[in-house]
Amino acid sequence: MRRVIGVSFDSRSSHASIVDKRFGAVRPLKSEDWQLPDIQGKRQQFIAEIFTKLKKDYSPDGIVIGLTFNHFSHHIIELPLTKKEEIKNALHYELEKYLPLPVDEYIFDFIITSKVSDKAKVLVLSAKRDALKSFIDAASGAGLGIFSIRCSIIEALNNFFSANKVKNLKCLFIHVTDSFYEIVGLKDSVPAFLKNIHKDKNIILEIERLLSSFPDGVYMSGKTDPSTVEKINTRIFPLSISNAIAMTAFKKQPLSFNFLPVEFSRKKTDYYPYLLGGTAAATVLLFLLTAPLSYYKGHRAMKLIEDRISVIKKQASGLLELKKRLESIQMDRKFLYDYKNRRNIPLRVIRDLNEVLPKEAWLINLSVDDKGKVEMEGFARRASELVLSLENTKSFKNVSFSAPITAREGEERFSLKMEIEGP
Amino acid sequence: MKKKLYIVAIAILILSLFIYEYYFVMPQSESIRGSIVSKYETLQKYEKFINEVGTTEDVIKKAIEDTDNIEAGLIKEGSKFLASARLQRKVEDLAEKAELKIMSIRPLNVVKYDTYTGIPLYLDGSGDIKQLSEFLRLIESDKMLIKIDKINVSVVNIQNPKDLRVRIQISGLSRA
Repeated sequence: MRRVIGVSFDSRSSHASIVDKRFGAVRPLKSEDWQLPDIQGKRQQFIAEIFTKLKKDYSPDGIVIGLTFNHFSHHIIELPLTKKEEIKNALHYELEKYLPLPVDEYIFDFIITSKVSDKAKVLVLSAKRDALKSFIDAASGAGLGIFSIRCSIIEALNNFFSANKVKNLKCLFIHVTDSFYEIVGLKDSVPAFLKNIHKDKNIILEIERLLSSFPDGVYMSGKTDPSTVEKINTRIFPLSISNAIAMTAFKKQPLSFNFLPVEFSRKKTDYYPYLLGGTAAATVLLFLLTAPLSYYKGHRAMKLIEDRISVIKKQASGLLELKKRLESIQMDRKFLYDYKNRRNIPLRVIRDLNEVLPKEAWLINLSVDDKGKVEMEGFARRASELVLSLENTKSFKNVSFSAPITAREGEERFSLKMEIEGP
Repeated sequence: MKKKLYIVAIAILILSLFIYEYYFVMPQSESIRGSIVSKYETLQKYEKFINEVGTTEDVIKKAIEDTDNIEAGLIKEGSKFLASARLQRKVEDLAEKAELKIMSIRPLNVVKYDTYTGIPLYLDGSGDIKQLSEFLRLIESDKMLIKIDKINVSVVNIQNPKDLRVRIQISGLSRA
């Protein structure tokens, strides 16, 4: 938010408009009026008090001071120059012909009203440095910054131009102040004639005389007198001059005059060299950062992969342990199954022998171990037939006699050894 | 003069940085990029390997269940002496149940396997074939994992062949 106060000073009164700019929109906030003392010393003190009060009440970013036309002298000068800077330099010398005091005693500003080939016609307004200084000192004393010092009739005209978009006007514009009629004759919407007439004088005659040169009519603003308005058939242009003065801080005006001495002007920082330097530095920095950034990104990516590999390696070592554990469990299980399978070998042997041995054969000794070795001793009618029977079964193998066969009472005594077939 | 010095210093700094980047950082970046490619391939291999963990865990679980089922038949007693006593008692009970007469029973030296320990016993007994068959059947069907290492059955008196003498080496298992 930016807050500006426009303060216009008339001969007997003063008006202030407080204007805010928020989010790009400018709006008047408040206005205040004062009657100024007639005595010069008291008047100066009163103005200082006004500024102090404004500073205290509104804390503005700055003020714009508007002065009535009687503070200025004006000249329309034709110069053989067209460039603004050249004209400005030339006016330092040219004005010596027109001003009663040395040019340095004045603050002047100008606008080019017309250009013809290599010549320019300029309107120059000059104000005495001393007259401005009293306002500047009062504002500085109150701690207020000054954006600009304006001429009230010019700002009234600027407002008039903004409101009336008609071009090529050839009319009279009169701004009425406490003591004067400030008259501007417009030709092609450019000030071609300026005059300040005291209210004591007969304005009607003057206007009637001027209307022959500016026939499009009369526009009047400010503190108008109804009787005068009636007599000269004028159109009223409503205007708050302090508001118009405040607006100059936000909007570029078609007729731009500023009488604030250079030494009090706010210096504008030229950011362009900084911007250029900053951009160049940023470019170099970006260029230099590209390689380290690439390196950093690569390094980071590799670290992520390495971390992941490290995690997986830990998991993999767990997996290897798991596999070892599985092998160990499987070995145990195999051992237990083998052990379990061998526990019934003697029973198997006895069962198989019971099926194979002939009914007349009988055993007197039988030995079996868990490795499947069998030894037996007994009696049978024919031991050789017994051996054949045993060999023919799928239960035994490697059947052989372990001792000679002896015959007794029709029976043969045998001793056999063999192995169990299969696991 | 001072301004020129600053400009020269900045120019030298920028140039030094550029040289440092060109001759050190950039080759390092290239090398890192190469490493990333090879390490990423390794990572993918490892990830594939890791995905097989789930299968192995299932197999282990099943193997543990099987082993636990069989191990339920082991002698629980921790010391060899107690384990031997436990087996001896079990065998005596079974013999009594089968009405097989025990003449002597004695523990033998334990046999060490990898994970388990064999607890052997020697039994000398007598009985008829019916009692012996019943005894062997009871041993085979008992919950305790008892194995007959060796068996010798002989007729004591050839005139009375029903009277048998039985010498058996029996063993049970306990965890080492």
